[in-house]
Amino acid sequence: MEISHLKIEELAHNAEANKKGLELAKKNKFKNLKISSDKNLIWGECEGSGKNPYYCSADFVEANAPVFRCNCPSRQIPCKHAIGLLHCYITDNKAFTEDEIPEDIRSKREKIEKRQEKKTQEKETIKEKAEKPKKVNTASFVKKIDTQLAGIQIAQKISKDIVQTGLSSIDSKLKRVFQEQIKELGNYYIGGIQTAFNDLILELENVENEQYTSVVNQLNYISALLKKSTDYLNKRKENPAEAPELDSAIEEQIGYAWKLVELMQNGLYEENAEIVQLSFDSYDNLARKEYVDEGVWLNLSNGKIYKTKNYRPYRAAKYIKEDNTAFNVLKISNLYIYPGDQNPRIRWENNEVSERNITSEDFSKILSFSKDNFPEMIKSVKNTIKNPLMDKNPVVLISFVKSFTNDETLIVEDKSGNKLIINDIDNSNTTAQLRTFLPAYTENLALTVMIHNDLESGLLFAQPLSVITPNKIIRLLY
Amino acid sequence: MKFLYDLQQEINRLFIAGSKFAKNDVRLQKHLPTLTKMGEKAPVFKKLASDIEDLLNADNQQSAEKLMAISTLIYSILYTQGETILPENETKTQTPIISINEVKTDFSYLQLKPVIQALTVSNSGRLEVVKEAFEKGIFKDSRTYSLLSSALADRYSELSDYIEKTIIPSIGTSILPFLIADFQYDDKTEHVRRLRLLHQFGYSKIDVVIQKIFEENLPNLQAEALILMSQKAENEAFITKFISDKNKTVRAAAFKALATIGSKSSLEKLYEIYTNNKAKNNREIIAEALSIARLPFFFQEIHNQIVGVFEELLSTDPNDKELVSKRLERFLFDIEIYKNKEYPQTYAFFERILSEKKNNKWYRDLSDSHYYYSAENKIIRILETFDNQKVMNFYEKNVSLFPSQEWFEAYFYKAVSMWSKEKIFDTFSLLLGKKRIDFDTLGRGFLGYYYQYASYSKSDTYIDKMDNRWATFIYEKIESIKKWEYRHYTLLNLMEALEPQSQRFYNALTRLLSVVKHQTQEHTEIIRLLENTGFYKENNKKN
Repeated sequence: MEISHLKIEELAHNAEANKKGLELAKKNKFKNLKISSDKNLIWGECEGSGKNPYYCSADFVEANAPVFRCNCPSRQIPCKHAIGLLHCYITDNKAFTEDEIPEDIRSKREKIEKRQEKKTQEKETIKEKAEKPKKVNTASFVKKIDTQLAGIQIAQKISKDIVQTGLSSIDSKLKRVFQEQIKELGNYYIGGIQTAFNDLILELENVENEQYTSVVNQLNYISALLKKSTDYLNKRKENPAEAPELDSAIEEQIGYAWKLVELMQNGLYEENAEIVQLSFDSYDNLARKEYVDEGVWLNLSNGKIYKTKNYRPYRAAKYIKEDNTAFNVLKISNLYIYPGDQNPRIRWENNEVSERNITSEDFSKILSFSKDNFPEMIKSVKNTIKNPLMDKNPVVLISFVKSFTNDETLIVEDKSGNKLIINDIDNSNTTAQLRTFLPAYTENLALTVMIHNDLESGLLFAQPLSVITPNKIIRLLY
Repeated sequence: MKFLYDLQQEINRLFIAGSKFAKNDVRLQKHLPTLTKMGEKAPVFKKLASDIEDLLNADNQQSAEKLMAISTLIYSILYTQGETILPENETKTQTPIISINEVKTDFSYLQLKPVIQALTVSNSGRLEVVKEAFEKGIFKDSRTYSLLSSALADRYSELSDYIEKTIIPSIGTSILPFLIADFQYDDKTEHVRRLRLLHQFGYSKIDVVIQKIFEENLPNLQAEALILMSQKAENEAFITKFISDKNKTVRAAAFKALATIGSKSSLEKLYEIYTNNKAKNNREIIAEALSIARLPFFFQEIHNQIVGVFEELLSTDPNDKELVSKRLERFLFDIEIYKNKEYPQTYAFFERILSEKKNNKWYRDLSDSHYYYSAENKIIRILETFDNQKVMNFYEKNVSLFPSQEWFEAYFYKAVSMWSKEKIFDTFSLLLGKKRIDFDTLGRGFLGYYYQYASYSKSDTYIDKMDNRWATFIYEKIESIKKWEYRHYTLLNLMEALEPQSQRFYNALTRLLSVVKHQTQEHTEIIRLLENTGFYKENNKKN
């Protein structure tokens, strides 16, 4: 059972829980520490505020998906007692005496095993079935689409009203009226469209200096979305048996939440994929009242760049685990790739991942995937951002040979002399950091960047997120 | 492409006002001719022109739809028109300030987050977080450098001190670029700190910086610069220029700097100021400066002067309160000068002062009214810096003259670190008593309890210097406890150190159980000690 301080930090929900667990361990609140003979299960008792101690355990039978159990009233898993137990193990594993696995844990393990077997079997059959056409309950399918179309009609009306009235005339009273109407949309299976409207209201609230470009941008998105959804849903209505559209994110944008199994059914997965994290950031989306953990990943076999996203609404933030920087290469048995954009979202199941150290070969591979021809790269970016439904800030990996400053702005140049401005999109200071160590002439160096086209100034530039060298990744964010 | 941006602004304007105003909009109409012409070359502009025409003619109902279609198209075009370079202005080579090989970013987000929060957001417990992070080596990650440099401005001075004196020196010159970038010619504490660090790291342009500091009105920075310059004796002439600066901070620094240089000429200047300058403004700071120097020159002269000051004080008319106060204040400043001056004259003078305190009621009363700042308290602090054995001799010789508890305690603490346990007991058991040595003193001396209120603290433990015979005194004291007070813990801990398992301790503890209340910390502690005696388990436990 391999545990390190770093691992515990990752398993803990947040730094606070980790600290409390550590305190418990330091204050010697644990007794009767036991370990199983195959050394992958530890358990013990922890003094609580009540009369009887809490009984907690950490089960590593599945090394990458440990199970924590405790009979304390906390709903967090792992609770502070389980974390404290792990800290006790790191501090002094000899304090754990070998003993037989308790009956309750044994039966729970069996249950999990059975469930997993079932799931694996299910997956096997899904993979086989994927070739065969799907049976769909036509009647209910069509009924749902009709409801969605009706919802879209209402949405069309709302957007028309907004545009006719004029953005500056939307006072708080009118805003409330619109918000009520938007709330109604929730009954029509078009959650994504509803969110788009909510975002519009938020953009309107955050207008500064009379700059409405971002609001209009959002209106464009809505208008394009409503148009495409109508066409798309009508098409699906005519051919219910046909597969959903997979080369764009339209399903999700309307409001559909893909299940991993469905992604697999539609072939949207890769087996035995190896991915490495290029950058990570966690930020506070004040407007939507949630924290977002976003990772940028590279597929070592094909150089595609993906994103992982973990949403933690303020109210539930305490119960949802925070994501973290990942330094190792992840090997994933089944990597699920959501339909979409330049940087599609990816997910995987906890028990299907293993880690390995990153090697110099991996770095060479990453560097080989970088784009060293700016015009080509920019052309492909422009092709996607011109589509109102696609992500406006794609992430790419670039390499260049020279860098210089022009009026205090950093500029990089590819081997053919094409130039690209490097600048921050927001106020995260990554460009300033980069400038402190970026050499003037570079070979074997790649930069993970997020492209941005600022409509106000007409400039297209790139914000640096991390630097890749032949032997390390320098993270400018996390 | 300015044309398209203008058009975009027009469209934005219509969104703001409302699409109903689009009909026959004059400003939009003005764009049509150019757009039509552009449409001859590219069909997308032709479409745009025709869409705008439709909009101009559309009624209220259709205007919204048309406007949205146009804006989608325009924005889409604009997204293909982004420029990637700025106009050619002055270009300069990109010059890194650290080598890329030195950059380390090996810590994870969850490890860095609490540290970044601690350095940027005001909160309680920040110093702890930062200290722990330092021990874990988190500040080797270069992403923390700019934050550390900024945090030198933090209002919580213990934190900024820790950063300046512990963390940043451990990082080394890699952080220098950030310090240079953040340094400004602004007379705030944060820049004084940065100046110190720039000097410490051997910044190549430090002389230029210092020169600039003296060109402007920056007293705090100038004071610091003078102190830094005192490290080189050749700066004496420059420093001397500032001994008559109108700013007191600068003058004080100049005095200290000269004292540090400690050459005959620099000390002569200080001596001159000391003897000639009767102005109150300088009294304190000249004494501070003189206290730093060992005064291989001029000591006798200055000593004679201070003795004179003391005698003058003693001979003042008691009714002239103002003069008394003035002379006492001067004497108290001057006493400080004896720091670092371990000469026979010093010891002799101290004895005289103690003797005066003992025998001269008027002086004693006067002195007591300034208790914390009295000359006698200052003398103890000065003695702490002298040779241990000589000071012990002084204490032993003058026990009968000790004016306050603090003296007995200072004597005791030194004895604990130097004598055998028998001698300690033999001497100090006779000194147990009010205003001399009490049990708290024993606790501090033997068990190392931090003494918050004095300016010195002990943290070493000397349990092996506890003679067994102390136990009887402590036992008797425990037996006299009628009501529990926090300070009684010391007694229990002292007894536990000596005879944790004795019968009499067990008896005393048992009696105490009926004195303290249930479910209190002291109750728990007494139970713990009882269990340790070994007798307790034989009886029935209550609770």
